[in-house]
Amino acid sequence: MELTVDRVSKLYKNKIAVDRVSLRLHEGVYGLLGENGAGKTSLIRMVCGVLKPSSGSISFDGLDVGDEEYRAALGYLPQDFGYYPEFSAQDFMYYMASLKGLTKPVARAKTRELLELVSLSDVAKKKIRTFSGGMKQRLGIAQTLLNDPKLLVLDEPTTGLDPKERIRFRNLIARLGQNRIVLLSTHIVSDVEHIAGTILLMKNGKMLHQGSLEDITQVIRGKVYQCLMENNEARELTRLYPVINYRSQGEKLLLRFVCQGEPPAGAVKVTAGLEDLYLYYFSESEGHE
Amino acid sequence: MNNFWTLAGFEFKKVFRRRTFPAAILICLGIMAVMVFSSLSGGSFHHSVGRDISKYEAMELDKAVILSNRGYITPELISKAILSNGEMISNKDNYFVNEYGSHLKEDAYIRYILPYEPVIELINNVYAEDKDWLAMDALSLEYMGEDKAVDRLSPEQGENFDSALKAFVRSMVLGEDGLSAAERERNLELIESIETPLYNDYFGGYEAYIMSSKSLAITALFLILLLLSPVFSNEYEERTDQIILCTKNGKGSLCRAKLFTSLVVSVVSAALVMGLSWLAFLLLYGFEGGKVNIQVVNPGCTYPINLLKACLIHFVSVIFACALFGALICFLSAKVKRSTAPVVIMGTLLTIIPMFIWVPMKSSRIIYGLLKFFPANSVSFGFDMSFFEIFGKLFTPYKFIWAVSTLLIAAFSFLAVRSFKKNQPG
Repeated sequence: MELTVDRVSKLYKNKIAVDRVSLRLHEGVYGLLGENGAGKTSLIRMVCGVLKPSSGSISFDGLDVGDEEYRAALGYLPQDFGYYPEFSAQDFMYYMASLKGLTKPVARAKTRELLELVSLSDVAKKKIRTFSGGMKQRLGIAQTLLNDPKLLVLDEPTTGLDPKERIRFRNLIARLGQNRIVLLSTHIVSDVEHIAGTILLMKNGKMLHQGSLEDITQVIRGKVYQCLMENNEARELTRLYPVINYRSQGEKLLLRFVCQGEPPAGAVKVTAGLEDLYLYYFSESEGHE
Repeated sequence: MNNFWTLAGFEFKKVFRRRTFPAAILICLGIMAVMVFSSLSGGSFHHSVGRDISKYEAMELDKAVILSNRGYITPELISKAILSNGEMISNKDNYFVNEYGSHLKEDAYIRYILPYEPVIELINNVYAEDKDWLAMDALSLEYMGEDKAVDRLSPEQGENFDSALKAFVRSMVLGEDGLSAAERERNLELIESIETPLYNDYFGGYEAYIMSSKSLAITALFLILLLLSPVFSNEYEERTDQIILCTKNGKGSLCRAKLFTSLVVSVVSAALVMGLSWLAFLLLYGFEGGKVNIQVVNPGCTYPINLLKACLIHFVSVIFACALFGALICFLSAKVKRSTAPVVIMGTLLTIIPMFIWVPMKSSRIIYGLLKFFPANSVSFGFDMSFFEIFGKLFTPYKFIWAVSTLLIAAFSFLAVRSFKKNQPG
């Protein structure tokens, strides 16, 4: 099982959204990280065949992205989309099942199973317009699984979910990644950190890094520090380094920051995480990098 | 069939569950009801003058008088009509005088003219000495001259009515500017096929339906516009295009299901609006009149058909026009990528603007012919003398429009699917 993205670019009028990205993905969970406008959604839409690349090619096990068989193997949850408010959850699932080419008995069985999985069985016959954002998101996740996809693409799947649901879905996604390719795009770094075997880091349309958490955090290993300081000192430090976290401790502030050179006095080196790396690359101040 | 029927079912659900659906249906039914009842309440019936009776009762009384002479318009009937008219004009008691002049009393009209009303109108047209007509469509050949032939004809002179009628229609053909030699020839052939003697009957139901047919057809067009505008554009608006286009059947079966649904909605809307109104008019005025030759209504018409056939042809024409309009709306809906409102605006403009464009046949045959394809024009109840001429071969207008509409429906459907499939979510 292999998804091949070969030198794929997407150009809008005067902007390069995706710049010659190449990837080879196999079974497992891939976390796509990047700030807003990094090109994540454009890349994902091209992988799903809803956006045509300006150049390059995408294939899955030899099937071109334009092939019907490619689409048959795909499950896609877009970042935001309408859910036919006048349909019930069950109708919506049946509709998606027919779009995915499932027979009626299979559609019924899968709908029952998946609505159960996302805890929507009780409201299966209620109109979607009565659903909360989280319920809609769960329904969206359920529809992606209808055709038991070999390639599952999720754009911000945990948005709108409460913490308990988020953890449940994180675990579900991790489980799904055991026998398929799961490409997960999110802003929530901890989601990626917990479940992605491989992290893809995008910036300005380019793929900056790809690798395991270990590999990818190599760049800032030994550069993350923690320090307790006065408010005015903290302000000065914020100006100089990308600060990952602030926490009040009495009258002082505990700061976690990335520092490439000599750290300020009293700073203690800590283990680098993905959030540290994210901030290192996507800090508001480009000069920090 | 890749879930085609299931998807079509869902497309119907989308149409019927939209909030605009009940509103559109109610408005449409309201317009139909207003048209049917206003034809009666706004109609002028001879028996209602000076009598305290309802319009319906007056219509029934008028109808009973006209029905007394239903049947073929034989030379005897022509003679009787001329005699009756003569008897009326010879008696001054049948008139009253006021400051504006001498006027026929309503009772006299009911007694002498009403039993022969369509016959006398025919006589006045066919035997008119001056040629001063204004023809707009199948029902509106209006004699504009002063001459009332029935006043000067003797009963014997009416015996050649059938040949005089055909001569009259021939003269209309020869007097029509802008017709080619081949068209004149074809019209003359058609005239020879008109079966005489003509058949007359009470045709109030048909007349009321024909008079309202264009407005009803436009109502059907607007219903289709409201129902079908969101077919594709709603997917863009709701951003559901993203999940549709990446599914197995999203670019194939679903598009076919959408087009099938749109075609069914167009055809059924047209059939229901026109069919129900037609039925309502006939229920109100009576089912008589189907056998009446179209020449009784419009003596200048060259088509050898009766009112039932004319209405059926028009009905089919409206179905084709609505199906074509539905396909056009689907295309616009797929093409206009953002929202439904521009589709509604464009559809409205495409319906309304051509109604105000009129190009005489003699000015430009191409524009004259092209205008017939615009929805509001193709639903006109008209059997004029023009034909479509392609490579020297003449085609009957309604048959040609049906055939070209079918091709255009296929073309717009193809373009709609192409636009939807190629859509790139923003």
